[in-house]
Amino acid sequence: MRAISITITIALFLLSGCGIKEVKPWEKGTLAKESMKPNGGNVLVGKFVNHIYFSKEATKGGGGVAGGGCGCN
Amino acid sequence: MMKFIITSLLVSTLLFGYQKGDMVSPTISKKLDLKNDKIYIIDFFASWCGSCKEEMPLLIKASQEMDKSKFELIGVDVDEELAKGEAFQKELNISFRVVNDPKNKIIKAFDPLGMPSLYVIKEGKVVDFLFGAKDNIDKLIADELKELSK
Amino acid sequence: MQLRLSIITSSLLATASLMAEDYVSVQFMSYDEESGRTTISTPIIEINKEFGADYTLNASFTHDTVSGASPTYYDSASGASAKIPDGATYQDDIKYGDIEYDDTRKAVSLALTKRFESRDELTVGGNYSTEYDYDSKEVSAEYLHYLDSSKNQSITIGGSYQQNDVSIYCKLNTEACDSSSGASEKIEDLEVISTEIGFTQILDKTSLVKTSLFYISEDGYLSNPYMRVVRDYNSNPKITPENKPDSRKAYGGLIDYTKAINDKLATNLSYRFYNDDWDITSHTLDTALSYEFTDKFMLGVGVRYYTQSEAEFYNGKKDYFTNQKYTSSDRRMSSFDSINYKISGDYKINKDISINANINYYKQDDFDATYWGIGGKYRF
Repeated sequence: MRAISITITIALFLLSGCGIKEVKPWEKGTLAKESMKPNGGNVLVGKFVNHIYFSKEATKGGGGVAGGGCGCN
Repeated sequence: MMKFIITSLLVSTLLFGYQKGDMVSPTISKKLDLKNDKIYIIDFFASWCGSCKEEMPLLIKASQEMDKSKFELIGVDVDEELAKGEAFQKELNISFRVVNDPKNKIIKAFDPLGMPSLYVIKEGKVVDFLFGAKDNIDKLIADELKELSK
Repeated sequence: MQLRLSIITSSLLATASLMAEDYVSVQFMSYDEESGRTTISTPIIEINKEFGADYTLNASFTHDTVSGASPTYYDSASGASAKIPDGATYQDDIKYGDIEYDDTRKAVSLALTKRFESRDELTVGGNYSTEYDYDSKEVSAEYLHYLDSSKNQSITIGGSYQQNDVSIYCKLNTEACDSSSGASEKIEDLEVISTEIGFTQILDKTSLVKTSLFYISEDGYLSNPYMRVVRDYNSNPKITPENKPDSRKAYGGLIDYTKAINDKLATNLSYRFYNDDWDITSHTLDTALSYEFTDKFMLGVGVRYYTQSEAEFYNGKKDYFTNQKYTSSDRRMSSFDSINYKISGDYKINKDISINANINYYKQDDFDATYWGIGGKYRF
């Protein structure tokens, strides 16, 4: 529960915009780079890797709701 | 009191960029080489902007189809790395005039809410704008210019 | 044996932030456990297509082939296989070891994204997968809403419903089947409902942070029909199927930070917390670095550390269980740590085609595995 509370607190802090500089639409070139995306933008590799974790470990979640099922756990 | 109101209005204009009815500053007008006898469509784009790339073929088409004696489409490339911007323009075979804005001085003056963005300028004044990619942008531009020519 | 890999469709939170583009991506991935215990080969194809400015369709298809073995208790006098009737046995004949299996699995997924005037997005998706003893159908929906005009803040809310059919072969699990019916197979249901709410904030031109909370509810058959436990080892030893509870409720939170350190180097750090009513708690710490050597070549490295506590009904010892209702000796229910190291490379051949390769080393307390992948992407 403590970790959940910390997550919510961080989210609310960010939502308030405290100390965060507004980034204009034309200033987002760096943020759009492939290196800024999970797995360098390679979605399939990310899915495969996450599925290995799901098969070999007892826990999941946090990576979006659509996952598809399998008889692997 | 009047001085305060005028200052506030000026400051608010600086903060929020050009709105409809605003005059484009002489500095920006010079950078874009705008003349009063034409209606201009200014298109802000960048190599990293996927929607800009999607829309570009239709903008090139719109530019080729418009009456160049009355209208002109000008691209403003806001890539901070000039070489990347020029390579992108070459890749897309952009045939209309492009002004490179690596220091983002032009786009800061307009301060659009999204990318890509289009501004329509008539007689030095902003008369319309559009933020974000749109389907059939060539038709939207043709209709806009037809309306403005009346 | 139900220890195999399958494709997972769109990680929707990631999809929302991707630059719109048309592409076909093909990957081939392979997983090998130590001593060749489990081997999986997975070709996947994915297509992403924009329809105008407002619609994106994403589809993928995969076909896994799996062969290998998985550890559980078995009666060695009967041929070292879990695929035998359970029942009484002798202490000396009870062994813990690998039971062989092989299987193929096909999975298909579709996701359609609609962008509104405000550029908010709605994504709806469906997944279907089938293997010889497991079928899964899922529908999902996710909505991304921008909280400010500059699109520096967004909130995402998503949910999915999954309906799974698990086949239990009566020959292998007499307790699950009604012997009087004479049926060779029993189908059990498993429903999974997942919900997630996420918040993304762009901090400055070079960094952003995402936080999310998730809740997962599972109801139905959650045991593995091939996993066994030993009961009454000291008095009247019996090998019986494991019996996990038929309900599992889990919640957790995630925080993910990405930062471009300079023009060429970017880093990502994430932490995930998980807790459920099986008494399992886990912590995951994931770090990655990406370096653009040139405009064409990018190298990535990463380390992931994971730790989990054990389920309240888990015990790995053969002399522990007697008449407890819920039992499992499945080591994935035990407490353990794992570490994963990865290296990847991405090379742009030209503006339309890129190729990639990755290799990973994964280690848990009592086994390790390597998995690698190669692939290509064609942008059209």
